[in-house]
Amino acid sequence: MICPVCGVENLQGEDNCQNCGADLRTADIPAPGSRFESRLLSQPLAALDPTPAEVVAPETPAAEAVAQMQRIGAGALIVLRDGGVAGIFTEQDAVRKLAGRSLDGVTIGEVMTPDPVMLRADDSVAVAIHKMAVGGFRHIPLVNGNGVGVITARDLFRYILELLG
Amino acid sequence: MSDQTGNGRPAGQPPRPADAPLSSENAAVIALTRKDFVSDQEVRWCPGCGDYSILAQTQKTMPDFGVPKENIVFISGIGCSGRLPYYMNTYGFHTIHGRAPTLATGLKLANPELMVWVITGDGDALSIGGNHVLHSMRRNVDIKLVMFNNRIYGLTKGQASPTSELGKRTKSTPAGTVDFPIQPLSIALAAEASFVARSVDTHTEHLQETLNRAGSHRGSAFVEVLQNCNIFNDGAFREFTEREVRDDRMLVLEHGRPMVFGAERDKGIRLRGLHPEVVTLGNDVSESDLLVHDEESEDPYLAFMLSRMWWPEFPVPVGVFRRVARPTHDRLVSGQIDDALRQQGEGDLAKLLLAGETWTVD
Amino acid sequence: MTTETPVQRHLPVQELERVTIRFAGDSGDGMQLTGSQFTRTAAVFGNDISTLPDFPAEIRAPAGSLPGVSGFQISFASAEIHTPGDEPDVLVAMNPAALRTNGGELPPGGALIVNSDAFTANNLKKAGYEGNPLTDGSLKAYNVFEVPISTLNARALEDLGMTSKQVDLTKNFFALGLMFWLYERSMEPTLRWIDTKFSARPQIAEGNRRALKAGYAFGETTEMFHTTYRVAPARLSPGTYRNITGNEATALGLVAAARLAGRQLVYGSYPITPASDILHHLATYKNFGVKTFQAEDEIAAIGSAIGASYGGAMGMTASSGPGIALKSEALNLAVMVELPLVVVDVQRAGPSTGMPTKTEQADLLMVMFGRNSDSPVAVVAPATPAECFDYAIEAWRLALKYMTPVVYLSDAFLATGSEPWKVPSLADMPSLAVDNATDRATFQPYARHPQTLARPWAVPGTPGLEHRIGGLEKADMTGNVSYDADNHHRMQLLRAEKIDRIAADIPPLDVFGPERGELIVLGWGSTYGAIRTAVERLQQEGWSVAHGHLRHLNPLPRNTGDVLRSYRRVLVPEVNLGQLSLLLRARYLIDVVGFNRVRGKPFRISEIRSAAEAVLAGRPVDDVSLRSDSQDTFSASGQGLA
Repeated sequence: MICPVCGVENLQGEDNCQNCGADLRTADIPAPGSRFESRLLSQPLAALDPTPAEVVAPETPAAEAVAQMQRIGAGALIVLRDGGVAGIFTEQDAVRKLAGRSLDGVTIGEVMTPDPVMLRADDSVAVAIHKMAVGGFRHIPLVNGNGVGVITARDLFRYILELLG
Repeated sequence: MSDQTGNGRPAGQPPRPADAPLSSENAAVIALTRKDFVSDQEVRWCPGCGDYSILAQTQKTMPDFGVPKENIVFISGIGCSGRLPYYMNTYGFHTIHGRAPTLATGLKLANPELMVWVITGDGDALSIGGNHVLHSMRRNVDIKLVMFNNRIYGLTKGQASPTSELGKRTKSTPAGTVDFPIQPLSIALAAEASFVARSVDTHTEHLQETLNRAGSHRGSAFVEVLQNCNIFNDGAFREFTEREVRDDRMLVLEHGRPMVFGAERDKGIRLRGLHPEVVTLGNDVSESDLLVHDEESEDPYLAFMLSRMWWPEFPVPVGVFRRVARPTHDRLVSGQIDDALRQQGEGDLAKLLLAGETWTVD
Repeated sequence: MTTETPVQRHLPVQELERVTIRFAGDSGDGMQLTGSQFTRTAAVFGNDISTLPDFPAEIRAPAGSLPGVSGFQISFASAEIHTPGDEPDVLVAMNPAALRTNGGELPPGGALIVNSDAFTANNLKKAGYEGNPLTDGSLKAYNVFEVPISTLNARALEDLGMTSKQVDLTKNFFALGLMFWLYERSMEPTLRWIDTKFSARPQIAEGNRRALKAGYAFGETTEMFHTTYRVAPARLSPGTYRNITGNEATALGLVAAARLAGRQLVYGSYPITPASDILHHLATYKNFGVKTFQAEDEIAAIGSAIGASYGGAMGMTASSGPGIALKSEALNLAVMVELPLVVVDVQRAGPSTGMPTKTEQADLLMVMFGRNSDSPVAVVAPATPAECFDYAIEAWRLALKYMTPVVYLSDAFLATGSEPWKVPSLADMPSLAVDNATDRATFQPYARHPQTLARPWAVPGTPGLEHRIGGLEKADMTGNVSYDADNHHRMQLLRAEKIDRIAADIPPLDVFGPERGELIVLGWGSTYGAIRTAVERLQQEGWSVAHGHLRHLNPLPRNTGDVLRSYRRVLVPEVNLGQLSLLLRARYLIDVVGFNRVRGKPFRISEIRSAAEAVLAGRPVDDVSLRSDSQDTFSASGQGLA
């Protein structure tokens, strides 16, 4: 690899440049290529001001839950059981699991996505983007010391837009 | 100051051209005979041991190389085979279990002119020494490794070895071994050995010829000698090596010739898809249908297939399985030294000590 | 000689005898370069110097993280010094992680110079700080100098058209320039060095030059500092010097030994921390005829070395503790066949994998006894990085003359630490040449030289001397395999006697200080510096203390017992649990006192001193109260970085 200080070619993995002695240990590890990448990697999700989550209990009838989502315009509900996150129910779930069937006697607990991917408020924006891209979802419950929030794809787009100026 | 470009060869040694072939053309110059190679030590192997035969053929073939006696070295490991250097009147080194190839490698680095034989056994080479066989072969160190395979640990009085058959009952495995044996030649080929051959202790002419060819090869030579330990594993190979049956049950490989065997020369090996099959020559099968042996094939597919063939499914092949040319380890290392000398000139020690950033105090 | 850059001084100058600076930062902060440039400048100026780099524990770590911190400590003085300093007087911390891991070693009242620009919320978090130590009062014990190095540096390089990343990589020169000003050092050597090393990149060269000068100028103009310091040149003996690490010196010594013996060096080895660098250095000396061989494992490494020696070359190998353990059977073969062999053990903390990058000297008993049966080998141990050169030659002198394996004990501290080395002249070095056997009329494989008891070296390729050797016991003289009872007893005695006779061929143990007295502090290996300095200080205060340091561990110098008996007490500080102590007690029946600390670090001068004071006062040594790291606010021991 080429020493970033003096420009001389060194063997891969050299700790010190053979020419000028510069320390190469952070020169050859993956690093954010641009300021943009750097911000994505370092900015915690808490800074995006995530919305507090709409929460329901698992016994809540599905029809009621969906009506609630429609009423308040929420894209996702977090299902809590015994104070912990038991599942998430999103617009996607509604389309995939509820459309074309009767909702009689169906509880939200039966149709939620159990044990969802969750993040902490101090996890980085980049992690959230990555999780959503890999998992194919648009909402992630966000937990920190005091309660549950939710981070949405929309929150992320807004932030990226800000960064791009 | 002495010559630093040499290989530490002792004074008084006549210079040998680096490319002189180790062939019997030189034999006329140095008239050595078998007797020159017999040492004064009384041979102490068990009466009836196959090692006597191997020793005899080894002593017989040494003069044919035309190599000065002082340039031949026998290095052995631990095992009955390990005793062989004591019975050869050459430089010899009886080393520790499994490590002979490593000393041989160092010896060739110190003096590439020497002809170095490594004498080992199935335990010494494939159990404790497996790693060193792998690497000395892959480096193509110019050594001739002769492995006496008797499918048992003889010296320590009868334990199973890596080539013992599954279920073999021995002192250490009274209920039978639970380990599958390995095929030594498959290992040698996987280790990229550039010369691979097999012979039998009692097939004296074939053994002598095989040793001769191994000795003449430039590069790593691996020779498996099927050897009978008449005390702890008598008859391990008798089923196919016995005089009465060997023609029908063994396949003598000859480069460029179709694979024919049998006392009547009426059987052969044909390739069917990816597998060999035994066929009888006659109505619909002629010699032209048979596999033709090729020692010099660059890739080891054929040789590997031959190494998998075993009685009773197949005749056991003997002879040279593979013989390819590749630069040897010691030549490559010396070559780098020569390159460095050419590019940088001979090292100036005073200058080397003062290299880097210096300052002077007056 | 160098020319000083003349500077207007308005500040008082304090004259100091010795200063220890530790530079610490991320690898991207370039502290290794800063440290080595400061070292060089101090050396050129004429100070005696001693350095110790502190490499990160991991191969690679994220920028700004605790495992990624690297440091460089340099001590420079107007008198001769022997250690890189117990603790720094000044800590230059380029980021919070550096402060976190190194701050605990700064004594109260010490100077702390930080790059305040690096103390961002993000970096503080990475370093595990809850708040900001610059503002929360936790640093009030120190003299803190908050310098916005990144900003000031960027400003100085504004119009050069370099990217911000490139500019950031020059800030280490700013720090260097500031330190040069603070300690009255000339910038000339570094400016010339920049010209040479960066000739391919004039823009970077200019950036570095400006950064250096900007740092210096900052020192001149800021109100922050109230004094500058001067450390006068030391009176060093005339000659040409270079800074050298132990591993480098070992490698050079081995090449020299081969040249002095007129034989080829064949070096078989297997990569292992901290010995791999010897292989790396030797691999570049091909035009000296050196053949290096990276073996498939430790045993193949020593096997190839023995084979090479059998062939008449100088076969050798090097490793650290775990590798030496693997080599024991083969080393024993070399003992039985009595061939010359050098085995280098660069000791590290064990047992087993232990702490690969930390130092220890606990392999002594292993190399003395860690083989089946009575198996004597000669053992030497250099005391300083420069001595690594001399004792590589000494190891080969003994191996060749006595036809025996010789173990050369170095350690991680010697291997990576460095000091100025007065380059010797080849004319002063002894010839190590020995003859091969040639006379077939008189040759017997195990006939012995009347004085050294060495057997003849009959090399394959020599006509008429064909013979067989091996691991089985040999008959005296003929070398035939022998199971004879009396022969075995005789051969065991002969092998032991051969090693014992080396004692007549090595210098006596000499002593620094009074020839008789209250206490002698006896050490071996890299404890030299700390012991010597502690004893010097005690002597200056009037105590009757001497320092003896063994370089030959087996056999011991002939006068060792007499020397030890000339003092009322003997203190043996070791970075092990008492190995030399055990040998001395067994051999001389002297009740030596051991001082044993096995912390993976070299002794501090203060530790040795306290131990010596305890012995002089008749107190048990374990009573000694040490400055414990865990009492400090900045303890990094939890991260395994202590």
